[in-house]
Amino acid sequence: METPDPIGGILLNKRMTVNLGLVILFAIIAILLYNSGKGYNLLLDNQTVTINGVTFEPTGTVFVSVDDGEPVELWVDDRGMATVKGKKHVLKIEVLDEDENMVLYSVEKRFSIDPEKGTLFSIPAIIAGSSEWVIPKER
Amino acid sequence: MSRKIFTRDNVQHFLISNAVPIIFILLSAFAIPVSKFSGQYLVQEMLVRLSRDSFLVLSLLIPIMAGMGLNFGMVLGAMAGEIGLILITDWNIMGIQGMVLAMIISTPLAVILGWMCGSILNRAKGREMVTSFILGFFMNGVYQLVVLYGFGKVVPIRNPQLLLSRGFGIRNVTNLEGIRKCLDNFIPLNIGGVSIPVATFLVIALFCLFVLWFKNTKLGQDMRAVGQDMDVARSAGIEVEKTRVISIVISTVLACYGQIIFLQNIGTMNTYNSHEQAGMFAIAALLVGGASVAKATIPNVFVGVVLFHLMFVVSPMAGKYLIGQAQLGEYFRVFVSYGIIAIALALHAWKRYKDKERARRSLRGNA
Repeated sequence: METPDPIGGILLNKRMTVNLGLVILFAIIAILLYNSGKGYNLLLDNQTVTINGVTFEPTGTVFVSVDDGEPVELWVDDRGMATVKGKKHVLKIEVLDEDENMVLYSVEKRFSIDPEKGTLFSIPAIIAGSSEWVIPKER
Repeated sequence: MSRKIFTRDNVQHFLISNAVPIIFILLSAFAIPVSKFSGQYLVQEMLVRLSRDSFLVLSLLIPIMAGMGLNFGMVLGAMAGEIGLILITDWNIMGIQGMVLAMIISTPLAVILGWMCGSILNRAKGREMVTSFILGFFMNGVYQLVVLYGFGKVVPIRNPQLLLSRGFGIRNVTNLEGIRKCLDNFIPLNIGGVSIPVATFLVIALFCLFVLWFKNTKLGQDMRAVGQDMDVARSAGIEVEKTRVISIVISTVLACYGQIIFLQNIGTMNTYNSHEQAGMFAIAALLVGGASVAKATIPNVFVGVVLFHLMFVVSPMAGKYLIGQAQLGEYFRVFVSYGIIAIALALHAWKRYKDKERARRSLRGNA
């Protein structure tokens, strides 16, 4: 019967452990990259909406920007889109006056995207300070 | 001593060794003024093309070192890279993360393809280039089968913009908007209206350092020994076949990364053709830089990319101003890219003949 070579066995084990470790490391890196690089299309809705029985009316024309990106101008009953990378973001809403010349006030909202919940955001609900501002997918 | 340098034989040897770059320098010297492009435009174009193509061309160096000639099988790596890009586009992974993820996904595929290519080339010693060339065609068929029928049926693809209207198979053009220029614009730098893709050049510089380091490693030395004489290398205890396979695997993986860097710059992918062009143009560029089937250096890569792409940029406009048809310039550049490979191979054979003759003469001495 052939006896196993202890040195060869140790080397093989060491090599296999290193290879396995590398595979696991790359798998972890891949998961991290997937989560941090995943792109989402956020739909920004400046329309009248009822969430959980509460109705929110648009205040007027607004400028909405995500993470200091290019601002999207939304009129009343308008809808815009912003593409973002990763899950955690800051949404900035600037509410304009009736002549659309001056910024009356601005609202900032930190949020984390939950794809299960939806990516359709109600701007009037955010301005009103509601805790429910993501329009559910069923709508 | 100085008399010896300028002997007719030495001048002839220099001209033969550098015939292709000399032809291209002369052609460019003629075409640049005719094309009427500004210096700034040409500098910008050359910087963009250097950043886009250098990595792909550099991936050819290692098989040449191992004596396997020009690795036409690099298209296999390019295909692996494209599969990674299709997947990250489907998952909508953006930016640098998307690019690196595409590299990670496609690496195992490139390793398998490289190993397969290397094993086949070991069975075709002495005919590596033509074998890898035909292998590229064969694998192109397999790639088309997988992408045209497997994606959407076997491999789940959720993005309807990627799929053909029948519900499976990837469309002709894949939009890489999510990762477009993500590496090029990672470290923005603009000097005098010329934007420089610093991050891409840093990656290329790292690759050059890797090549230099690799040459001095045990494996690198083994490859050089195998490249010089397989029988002697085998006698010295080097595992020739294994070394050759490793060189092709490294080249295929690097070509895979090169193709991803190339396509992030372009921003769109011709799903079924991008890899074909990658191999042909990278090899042509390397040969234009003065490399041969048996010897290639890092300067050959950069000189080749600049000269080859200079012709690409100026020839359509030069054709337009000379004959009134830009299309003729386009035909010319296609003719040039294929023709230069033929010229380089013919010159290589001629040079080998001349070198042997020189060696015989030097052995005979003045007698």
